[in-house]
Amino acid sequence: MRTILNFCLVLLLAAGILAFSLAGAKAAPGPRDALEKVVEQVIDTLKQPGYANPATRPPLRDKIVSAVDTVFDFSEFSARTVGAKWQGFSADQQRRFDEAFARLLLATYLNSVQGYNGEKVDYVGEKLSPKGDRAEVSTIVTASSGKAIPVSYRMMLKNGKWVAYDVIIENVSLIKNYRSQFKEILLKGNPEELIKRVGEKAAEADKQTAKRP
Amino acid sequence: MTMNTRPRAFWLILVLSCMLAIFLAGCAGKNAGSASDAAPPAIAEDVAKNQAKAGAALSSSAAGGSLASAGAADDFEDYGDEDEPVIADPLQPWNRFWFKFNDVLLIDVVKPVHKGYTAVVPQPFRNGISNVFHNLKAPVRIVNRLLQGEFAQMWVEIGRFIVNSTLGGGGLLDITKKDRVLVPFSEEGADFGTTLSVWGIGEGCYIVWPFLGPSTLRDTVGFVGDEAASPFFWGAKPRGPVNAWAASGTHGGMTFNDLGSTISAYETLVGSSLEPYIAVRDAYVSLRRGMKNKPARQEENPAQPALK
Repeated sequence: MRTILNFCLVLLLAAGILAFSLAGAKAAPGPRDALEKVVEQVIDTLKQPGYANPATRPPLRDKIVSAVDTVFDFSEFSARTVGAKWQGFSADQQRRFDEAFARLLLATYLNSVQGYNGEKVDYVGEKLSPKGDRAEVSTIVTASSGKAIPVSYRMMLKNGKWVAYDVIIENVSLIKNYRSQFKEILLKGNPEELIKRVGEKAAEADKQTAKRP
Repeated sequence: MTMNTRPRAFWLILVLSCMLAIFLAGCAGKNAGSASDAAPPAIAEDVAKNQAKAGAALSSSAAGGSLASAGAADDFEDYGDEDEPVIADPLQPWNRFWFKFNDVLLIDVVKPVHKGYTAVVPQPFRNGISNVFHNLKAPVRIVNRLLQGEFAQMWVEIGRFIVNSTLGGGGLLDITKKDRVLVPFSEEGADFGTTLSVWGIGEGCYIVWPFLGPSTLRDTVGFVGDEAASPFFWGAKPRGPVNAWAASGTHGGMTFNDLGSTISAYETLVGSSLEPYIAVRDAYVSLRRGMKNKPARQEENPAQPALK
């Protein structure tokens, strides 16, 4: 009798451990981990002494770009910024807009991280949607002066991988901000004009990235 | 002199506030649907979603997620095709003119002067100046927290004010800055504009003031209220319109002292936007909307690294 009881106990324990480890394995590549890995890579690259020198910077910048590309899905960004009028874009226009906007976002990102000055990133929360296919990862970026800025990332599960589709700084959503601007432009102009202006802005931002000391 | 000027200043503020309140009421009435803080049709849906989410968050908390409180109106919307509740902007021609004016003022005049200032006055001194003025304005924040019914926040402000004013050498050192407090604490949102928003008053329309920058009608009333309650205004002798100038001068000086991060944030925003006016309008409105219930939202994401 006693052995049977012991056996049952061991079995129960084993099942518990199995369930626990399964849950652990499932939770491991979460949105936060995916994001954290990339942010760490970017900060590590920015910290390298070669980054301060414009001559040795380009290969390091390429490293940042490829790291960023793994977690930021720029095509998800662009579909959301145009909103209702997106359906009125032809397939070709959508593709060209995607390209131009991705360039603009990347250049803007590179320009803003260029001024990296020892800012610290703390991960303070990760919320999953009820379905589990959307998440918001909250971070606090603390500057050396002590000023803390809340930065959140909206992420989605795409082909089994967590990718970011919006960045929210101090409650200001990057997507919504661009969306309000694009709405204004599309009110007066057509998709072609919007694509042209996004392209021009991207070229301008690219030039700025190259120029920066 | 003193006897006469004090009531005059008081009446000036009262009349100004009343005028703005009337504007505000008219503006809010006209745009009740679009300008209110929360989109009304989504409320019932939100409640249901939040209940569902509370369950989901419970199960996901093992993965480092925090519990979603029922008050958080965050539905992970996918930014579908619906029109965003934007702010009413009937004064756009006026606003655009002053936006342009402020832009030139900030970038071509203030920025170079500020650069010179930072070169002459080292960072520790600037921090000291900033702390003193910030501490002097604590009573205004305390009153606002009281009016908002945020008593925990109020007590933290009172505690900080007492400690910084005494041990901190009149506020020169913000020695309470690094202290962990028992409640999630935020200084943002301790202004009269946010108080009015807590009371359920709508934003009214967007308005850009010369020199002061973007605001809404509600925040304008809030600004006037905060300034009128400010110790800079009532602390000086003789009180009155003369000191209103002194008070705004002090306020301007304080703002100037802390302008560095504002300028760089503004430049980043404008530099990456296609329609700077719209970008700044959206950013201002989103930022201000986020200040309401900020401490409550921080409770969700306590400002300390979550356990892995």
